[in-house]
Amino acid sequence: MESPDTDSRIIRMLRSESMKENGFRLLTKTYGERLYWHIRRIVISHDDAEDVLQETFIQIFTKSATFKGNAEQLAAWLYRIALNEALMHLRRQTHFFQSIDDVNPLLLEKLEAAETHDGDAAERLLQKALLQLPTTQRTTFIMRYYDEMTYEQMAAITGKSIGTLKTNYHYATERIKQYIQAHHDSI
Amino acid sequence: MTVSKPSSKPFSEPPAYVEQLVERCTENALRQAPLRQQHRRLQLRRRFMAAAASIVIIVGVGFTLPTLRQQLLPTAQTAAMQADANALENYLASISDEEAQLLTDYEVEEFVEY
Repeated sequence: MESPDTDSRIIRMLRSESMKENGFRLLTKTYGERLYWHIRRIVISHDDAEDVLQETFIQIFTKSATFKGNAEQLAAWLYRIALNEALMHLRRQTHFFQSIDDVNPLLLEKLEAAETHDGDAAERLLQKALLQLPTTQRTTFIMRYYDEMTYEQMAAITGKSIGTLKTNYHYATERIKQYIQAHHDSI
Repeated sequence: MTVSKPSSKPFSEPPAYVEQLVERCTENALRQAPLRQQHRRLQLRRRFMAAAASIVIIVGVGFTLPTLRQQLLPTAQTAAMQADANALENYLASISDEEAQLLTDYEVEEFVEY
């Protein structure tokens, strides 16, 4: 669990010219791993996750001077940047008239090509089910199920209402169940 | 906001690997962020200069073009008129007085239309 004192300390250091760099190092040490897994689950590929994490860190450091929030808002701000960078990365892989959801088949190929699992067939099936979902439902599910966030935390990150997030999550779980029921023989 | 310990599911990179990756990205970000900001400022400055130069050129051409036209056209007309006048003088100087008289007396006949 994260300490509010750590977040306060990070913010104080980021706002000081002399301590800004060390504050950034403390920030990435505290949140870096979380942000990596969050990004990885969205972009699937390890190489892409590394690129997006790099870009996220650059954005965080560049924009740290303009962060006006308090310690309670820091984590949401970080996740928002990470989520936006991940989604922008996916959008860059689409053509002009394509939707971001059209990237899903490509992500499925990357999932199947990469050695990303420890042999857990059920987990593989869940990932394939996730990639059948629209991106908004998929990212909502990832935040709720894997990142274990509350709806309030997710609302702070995405700017969406709690009702919308609950609806997204509900539809996501329904479609995942249907997919797994239809394909459970492949496990 | 408090967030619980991260899960690596469904992926399998070891924690030590991710830790090294985070450190590497941190140091890269510290190096690249100032350069990025500098590059962005330079790009903005270039765009501003290009826009300013475009405005100057457009306004300059707008003022200069009518004046240029006035200056160039009379010169061309004068030169043509001058050339015509010289050719006529040269011809008249080359013919005899009788031939010149014939030109003066020349009348156009009216032909009957069939």
